[in-house]
Amino acid sequence: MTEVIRLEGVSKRYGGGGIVATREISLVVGKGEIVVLLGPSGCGKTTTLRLIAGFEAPDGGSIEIGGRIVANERIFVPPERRGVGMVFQDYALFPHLTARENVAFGLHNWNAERRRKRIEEALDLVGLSELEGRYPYELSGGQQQRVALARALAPSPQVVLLDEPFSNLDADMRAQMRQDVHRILHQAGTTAIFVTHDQEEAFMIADRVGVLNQGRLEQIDQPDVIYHTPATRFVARFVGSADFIPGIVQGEGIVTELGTFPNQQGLCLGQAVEVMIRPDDVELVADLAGEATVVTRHFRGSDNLYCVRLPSGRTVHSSQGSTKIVESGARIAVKTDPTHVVCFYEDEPTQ
Amino acid sequence: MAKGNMERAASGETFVFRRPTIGVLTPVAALGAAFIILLTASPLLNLFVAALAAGSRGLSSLLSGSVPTLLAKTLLLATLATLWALLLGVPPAWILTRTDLPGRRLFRVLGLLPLAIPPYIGALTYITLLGPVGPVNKAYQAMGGSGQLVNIYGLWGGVLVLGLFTYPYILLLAGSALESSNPAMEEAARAAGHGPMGIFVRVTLPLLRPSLLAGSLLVFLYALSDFAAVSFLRVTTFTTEIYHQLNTRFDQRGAAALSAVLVLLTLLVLVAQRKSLGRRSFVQRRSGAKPPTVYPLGRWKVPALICTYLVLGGSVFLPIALLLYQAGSAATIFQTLASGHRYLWNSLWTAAVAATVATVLALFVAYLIDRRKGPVGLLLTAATQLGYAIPGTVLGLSLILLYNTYVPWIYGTAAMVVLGYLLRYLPQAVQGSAAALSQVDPNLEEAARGLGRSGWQALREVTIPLIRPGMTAGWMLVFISSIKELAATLLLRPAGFDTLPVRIWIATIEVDFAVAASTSLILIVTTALPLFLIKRLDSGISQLD
Repeated sequence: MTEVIRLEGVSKRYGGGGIVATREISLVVGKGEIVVLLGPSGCGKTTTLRLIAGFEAPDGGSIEIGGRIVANERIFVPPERRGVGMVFQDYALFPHLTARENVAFGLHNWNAERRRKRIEEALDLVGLSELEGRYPYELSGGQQQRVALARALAPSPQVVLLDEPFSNLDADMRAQMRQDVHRILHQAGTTAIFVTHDQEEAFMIADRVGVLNQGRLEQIDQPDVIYHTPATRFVARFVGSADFIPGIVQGEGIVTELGTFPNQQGLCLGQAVEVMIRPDDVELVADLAGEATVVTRHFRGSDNLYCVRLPSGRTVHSSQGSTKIVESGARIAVKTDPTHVVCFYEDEPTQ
Repeated sequence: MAKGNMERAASGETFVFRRPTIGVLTPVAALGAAFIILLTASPLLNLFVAALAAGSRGLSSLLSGSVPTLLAKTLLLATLATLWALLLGVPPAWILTRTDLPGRRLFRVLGLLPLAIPPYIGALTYITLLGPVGPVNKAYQAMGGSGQLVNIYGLWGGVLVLGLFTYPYILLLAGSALESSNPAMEEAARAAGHGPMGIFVRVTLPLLRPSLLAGSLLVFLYALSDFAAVSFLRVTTFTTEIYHQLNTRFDQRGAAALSAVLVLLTLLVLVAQRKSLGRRSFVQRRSGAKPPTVYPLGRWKVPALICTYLVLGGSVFLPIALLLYQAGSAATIFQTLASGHRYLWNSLWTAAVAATVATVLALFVAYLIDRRKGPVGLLLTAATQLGYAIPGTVLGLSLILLYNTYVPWIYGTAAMVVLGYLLRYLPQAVQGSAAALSQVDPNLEEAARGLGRSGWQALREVTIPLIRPGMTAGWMLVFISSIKELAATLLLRPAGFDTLPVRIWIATIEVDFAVAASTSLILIVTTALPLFLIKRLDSGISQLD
């Protein structure tokens, strides 16, 4: 796999150093790969994108694009010489230019014939050839989004950066655009870094997901790995929901009040830990002699989310089928058999 | 635009304020900023130095003598003129935006016309009408009355004329506020059981307060700074007294001391204005928003029409009719134009050069202020706003004091006139560019950078095309204001360099009313044309949203 982007220990502070936007982020993106940076507001994901694009200069570390250093302590290559395409959250289409002229904007150094062909290709790719003469205000949000994507892709950049591109779209339009953008990026074979705070979006689009928290890249891996074996409590909580129940490593496994789980991480005997339990790993069995009690039920359409109180007084959540109804206050037995047993040390601070 | 940031701020998470670190070259920017601050601030600083040099003796003689009376008179004039302008401006503003008055679109365009008529021309026409030998007093005497029925000279004449020719500021600001107000507020009041009158008093008017305050302060500032109209109407104010000290008593220091007091006074009003504007949130009309409710007039149609006609009559139709009557015939006007084309040309080129330089400087200033928050931006804003605080007489005086001492080779050339216009009206150009620039998403420039353009190319290919309407409007505002400027021109012009306002001034002093009237008509036409162009640009801009 050819490397397109390499970040090494990239840090950025704002406001005279008081606010840390990114802390020593290291990241490698391969050719044709789609990496999604996921995290809550203010986690540094957009800053990371702007550092790569060259709209910000890092305070430390180095950034390479296509094997060329574009930023370190001594070098700073301005954005126009980085060969990076950017799709902005609000699209940033030039309002005084038509869709076609917007797409053509990045091709000013191309000869007329090649430029014309490339514009057609880019418009075709996003399916907007019909509307090329329209001005941005004459286009719907989704269409503007496509123009922005075509404009970013037209100069065949080494990498396309997308900053929360769907956040201004309606829910149904967003789902459609996710699929389309995914298809378009793959079809074009483009390397892309995509920023979002929506984990569902991240999982759908990404080859790999990087989770950021307070400027730190906590984990970067394939979506299922991130979900099933989160590296930190923050990742566990931010990517899906999770309960943590205490346990102790004894004999072959980890003993908790929900049973004994295999010690997959090879933890030392006697170690006190907390085991991550996802709602979809928790089974509720009707049992009048059961020791657990149903506290609440939230109907969520495709499933029911139950909150169950264990004998210790601790609560865990369970996702059950849409038609499985158990009344609040019912006695019930809780069974759980996670495929991946993820433990965190007890004294690790929860965020 | 700032939606993403707002969401971040609203969510209560750490809010990281972002500014592009890449922009205009810093050394160039710093040098330019320093030059502009020096250019705009030095005349005023020098003025204060000169005023202090008059020493305690000069100051105490001023304070014990005329200053307190002068202060009281000037403030009284400005206050009364402002109240009169409010009275003239608010009812038509409501009638023209919120009722079904027939022909209201035409009226709204006509309502701007008084801005093309400088108050000194208005003063002239009212002197013709109500002066000692004017038709009103003559008719009164013919009917057996003795003495004068009305006396146009003095405080009340000044109030009458200043109010009549500055009310469009209030009409404009209140009108646009009424137009963009959210109908839901009035509907809520209606649902709460208020009738149209109650809604106006309890909802519409309080919501109008910021724009009324802003408009009033504009009128007030204008009244403080006016020189020509009050001199024609023989009202003694700060500006006329400064001119008197300078031109008849040749007392530069006394004039400087008086000017310093006046500048402090205007600065005070200006600070109040900034504060009142600063608290006003910028309400942007959303494209999907409902237009405000239009009330059917019914039997009030005739009174509303009469009210509108009276205001327009007093400020537009009557003055223009009087000017036409005074000028005599079309032949006189053409004759004035033919023999005085030199004055028209002087007016045009000085105003055009000042407007062009102001627009270029304003683009630079606006860009710096908008894209680079910080002390330099604040200082620059303050420096470029100074022009608002300096009445033409004071500006003329301070430029004379400064340039006569340090750069005498400029003094006595037409460049002084251009410089005067530039300094006085730079704020209008800055405002035009700054307002347009604040509507341009900084992301657009970043998008251009990402597509291979340098900072300057992005500015030229994206930002400037987008703010061109605002820049053009700013250019025309400076042009109009400059071409009407009399006081500064009188003081700064080289001997024999006459502009249209100077010709009007001289003709009036020489009691050649036919020439004064025909020159006035030429001036009005020259200013009215760009005024309508601005209005069209404005609608062009709002269509772009």
